[in-house]
Amino acid sequence: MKRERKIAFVLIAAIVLLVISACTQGNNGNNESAVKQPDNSASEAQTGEAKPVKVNLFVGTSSTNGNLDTNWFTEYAEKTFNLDIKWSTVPNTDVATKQPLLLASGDYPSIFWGGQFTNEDLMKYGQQGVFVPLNELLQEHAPNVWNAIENTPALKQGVFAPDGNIYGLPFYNYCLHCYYSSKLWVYEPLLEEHGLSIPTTTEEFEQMLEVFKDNGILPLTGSIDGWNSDPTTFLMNAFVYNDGGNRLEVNNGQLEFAAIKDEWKEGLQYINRLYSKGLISSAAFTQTNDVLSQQAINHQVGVVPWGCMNCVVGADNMSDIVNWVTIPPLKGPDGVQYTAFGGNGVSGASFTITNKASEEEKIAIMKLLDFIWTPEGTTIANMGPEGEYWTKAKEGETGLTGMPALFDINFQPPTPFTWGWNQMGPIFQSEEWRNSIVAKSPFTPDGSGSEALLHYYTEKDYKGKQPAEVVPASIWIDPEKSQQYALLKTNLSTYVNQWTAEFIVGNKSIDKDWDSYVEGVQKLGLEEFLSITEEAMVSPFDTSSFQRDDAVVQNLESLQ
Amino acid sequence: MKPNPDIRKRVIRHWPLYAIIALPTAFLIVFSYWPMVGVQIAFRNFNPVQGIWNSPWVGLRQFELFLDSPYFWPLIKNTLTLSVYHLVVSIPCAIMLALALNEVKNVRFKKTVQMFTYAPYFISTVILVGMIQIMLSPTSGPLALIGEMLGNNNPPNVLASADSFSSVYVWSGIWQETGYGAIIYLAALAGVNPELYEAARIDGASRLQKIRYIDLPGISSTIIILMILSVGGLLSVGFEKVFLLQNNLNLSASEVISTYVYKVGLVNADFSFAAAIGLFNSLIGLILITAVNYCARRVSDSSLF
Amino acid sequence: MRQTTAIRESGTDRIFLFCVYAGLTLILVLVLYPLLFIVSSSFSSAAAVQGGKVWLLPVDFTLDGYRGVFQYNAVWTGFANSLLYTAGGTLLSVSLTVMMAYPLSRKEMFGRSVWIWAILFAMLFNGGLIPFYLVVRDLGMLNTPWAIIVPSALNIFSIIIAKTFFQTSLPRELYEAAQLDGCGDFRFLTRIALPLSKPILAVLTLWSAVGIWNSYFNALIFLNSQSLYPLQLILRQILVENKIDYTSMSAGLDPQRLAMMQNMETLLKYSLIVITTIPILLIYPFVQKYFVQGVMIGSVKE
Repeated sequence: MKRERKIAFVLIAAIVLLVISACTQGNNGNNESAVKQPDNSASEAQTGEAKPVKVNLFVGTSSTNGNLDTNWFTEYAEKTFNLDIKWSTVPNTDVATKQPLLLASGDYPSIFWGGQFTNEDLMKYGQQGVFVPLNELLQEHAPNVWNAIENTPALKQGVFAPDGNIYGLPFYNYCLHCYYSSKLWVYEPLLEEHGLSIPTTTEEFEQMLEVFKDNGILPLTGSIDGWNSDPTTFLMNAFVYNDGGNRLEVNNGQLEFAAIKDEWKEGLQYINRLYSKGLISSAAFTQTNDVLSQQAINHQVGVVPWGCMNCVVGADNMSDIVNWVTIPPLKGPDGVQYTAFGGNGVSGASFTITNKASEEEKIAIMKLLDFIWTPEGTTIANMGPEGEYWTKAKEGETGLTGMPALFDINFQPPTPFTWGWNQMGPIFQSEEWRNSIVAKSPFTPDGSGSEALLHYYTEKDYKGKQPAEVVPASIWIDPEKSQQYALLKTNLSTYVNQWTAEFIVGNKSIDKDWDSYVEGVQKLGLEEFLSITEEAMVSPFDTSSFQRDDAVVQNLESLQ
Repeated sequence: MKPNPDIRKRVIRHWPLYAIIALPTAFLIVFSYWPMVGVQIAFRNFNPVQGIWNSPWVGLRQFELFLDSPYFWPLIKNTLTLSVYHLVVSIPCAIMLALALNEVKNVRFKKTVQMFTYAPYFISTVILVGMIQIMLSPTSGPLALIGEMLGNNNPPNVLASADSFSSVYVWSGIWQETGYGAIIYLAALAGVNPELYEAARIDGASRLQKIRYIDLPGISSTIIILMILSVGGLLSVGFEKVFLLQNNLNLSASEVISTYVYKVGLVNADFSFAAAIGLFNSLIGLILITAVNYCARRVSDSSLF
Repeated sequence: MRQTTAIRESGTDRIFLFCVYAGLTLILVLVLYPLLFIVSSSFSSAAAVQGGKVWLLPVDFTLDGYRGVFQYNAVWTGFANSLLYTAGGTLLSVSLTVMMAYPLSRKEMFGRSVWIWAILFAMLFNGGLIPFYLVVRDLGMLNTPWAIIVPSALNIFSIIIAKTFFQTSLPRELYEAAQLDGCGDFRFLTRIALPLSKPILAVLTLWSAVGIWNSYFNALIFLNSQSLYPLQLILRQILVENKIDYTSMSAGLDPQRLAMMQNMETLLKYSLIVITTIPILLIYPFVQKYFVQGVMIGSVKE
């Protein structure tokens, strides 16, 4: 009896359900969908009581963001710029899944505030008219943004599509130490203990590793999922420029593939020699950060490749950070001394305006952007009102480069952070802004000076050692060729990654198998790959503005 | 050929069957077949703005791109190695666990073992791989400790070898899934007529013989159906676990179809390409299922169709 | 026919039993140790975990890992949502499975091979994510709980297994006897077949409940409001949040912040597993009791 009733109930429930769904079809239960109801009332300032402009914003959030509707900066923006902001949120890790669905189904919002678009996406949607060109809007209503673009080469090179339109704005974050994130850290007490000094050449480096090994310390290791935690990137730069990714370099305006050059072969031979002597652990190519961290924390390893050492030792062992110092880029036997450079501009966009936005929406959001793209605007948008998580800098306080500071910011906001948007969306964290934040002392044991510490080592040891020209981050592949490009790139990188690792550990012989390796690369379509990339590259990126400044080094050293 | 009136009589007589199956059939049509028209993306160059019906038609081009890829055969080989190895090991392991549990008289022991072997299934892939990394680390961790105890200070780096990749992948999967996978066999064993056991006991059969002549035949149809169904997914080795276990040293064995498609998609989010490969996998799956089903029909009396 | 005395195990049987018990104990240990490791890590401090000091028992006992999760209010709404989705979805799914599997198991049903081909085909071929999304959207289910319960309710794998079960464990004689008694197809299903199929129903319920509880993908693509998110999605948000992707340069965050985030990630990783797994583990004992032999006793009189 009971069983029958259950089944009957379910059948009825199911039928009712289907009926309800069918009836709500026209209603489209998606409350937060971005079908915008245009605000028809005139928003003239004269009337004083102009209705707020409704803007629908899509954003990828992190759990640190909390509830965006009640966020202080949301309310501030709404009051100041006469907006009524409706948020459509997605966890930022899954934006890449959800975005194409929204666009493909036609259910996209009027404005993507915090999306994740590649240059391909921008061209695709821009050319189809889904994304609106921003050039005129910026010039008329957001002059700060326009000027910033014009005056920041890294930005300028990134935002203009080949047809001259700007289809989106990126999140721009000037971070000097990030540009030189291929760093090698050595545990200083070990150097002192064994009477060694920081190596400057590949030979000295090898000798240092041998001393470590003889004394029971794991000389050099790495991990596969860290921030530039592959030791080969750093070491190869002593033979030929290695950008740690595409392995492309620009020589006299010509695009070249480093991984088949003789210099690369020499580099492989050096690394292979280190490996076969047991100076590099094979785990460097297989282990994850968890294991690497353990080794670093327990002082079992001498040299660690990583973008930020404090991330390796962990927040609870921060006082140990002063014991790790960087090794400057090594000089190879042929005098080559490069470091991998990541400051070659920005690519893609986080902010776009779609063809569903009304004129008022466009203008209103431009005004908001105009405010955010000023140093003060950046601070307020990120961290909320003055007095909570930031204050004005005091007389005499300086930033990282020694210039007078404007803001003293506490970068440890609680989670969830309800005051500001905390780097969400197209925020312009310019060099100027970065350098106007009060710098803490690099060597404080609680880790609050980590930014300064990293900046210090970068300026002291790495800045200026990059090649004069590199491939820009922003390249615009012709949509007709993008599929071919994707396949070529994937095939080439899989092949080179695999063979490089096998050469190093000795599974393949550098002497005997090098030629067939190079042949293999050619057969995979290297020529075509290079020509597509060259076409897509508007011009090489000029790195000449990145030179070592001794004054900055002195300044940071003097901070206590 | 049956004459028509008989069929009509059958249908009318058993009308409740058709009534019962109506609702799920509606679901099938709405949620499985209606979206299936989207499979044509595989024959087009899908553009989200133009949509499914208006994107340019390119015929078999997406398939050609995949089939002509220099990585095509290695991908197939790696994918099949993992899935066949997994299939061949996991089904017997689950069966053996179920049979073993079935023999245990002590109810508390039985329930405890069942409960704990079922738990690993819920560990996320990320944690599982993290644990594998720690356990198998050649420098720190249990493997290294054991190595030291045995006097070998340099235990092999299992994760660095392409040859051992499939074993790491499969056996960690066995650890994780066997308990959960045994459940269906336990349920099947519960359906075996206990009078058969009585008869066997009276005939003086040993436990092993009982397993061989009663338990196994009793669950044989379940085993066969599960095997047939598993064969359909041979090319669809999941992405996440392989991707996390992959590194440059084992890449020659660990690059499978799903990870390759992911990497290509990172550069150019191409729905058509992914759809074509998905269609290809499905076709192969269909062929394999039909083949295995045919064998099953010849060899036993239970089959899918 | 009841056993009066226990028959003594023969020699070979005793050895066999010993092997079985030994083997199962070994398996239990192999399984228990990593589980214990996870639970211990969830109660240990981040420093201890990062330093590799946790092996068996918690080191630096702390509840920070759990506090880190429960400080989010969203976790509670997520939990409630997951309960709702799991209960509703399981009910719907198991019902649909039985409703399709039972008729297909009856040889009397004319045309059943058409259905079997149809579901097999549907299991193997699908149109992809975008068409699926569009269908759900066109039905008006976006951003409603229905989007979680309904679209994936039909599980073809389960249907085929259930059909096999009905076919093999319901003897022909039973059906014929029932027919003689004037029992129609529907009554047979509800009064006889289902009560005798408790094991398979238990399995279907378990599979369905576990599947829905663990899933986050449908919620991700069909839901927009955090208030509707199931637990898995919320937890994933929390965890993946704190996981930094170094290849994307959002790692340009303050390095101290990075280190704190890593800490959080370490703490949360393990506590999240424990939190999501405990509820689903608790279901198991309820399901276990259906795997009891002798369900068929007395059903058919020779």
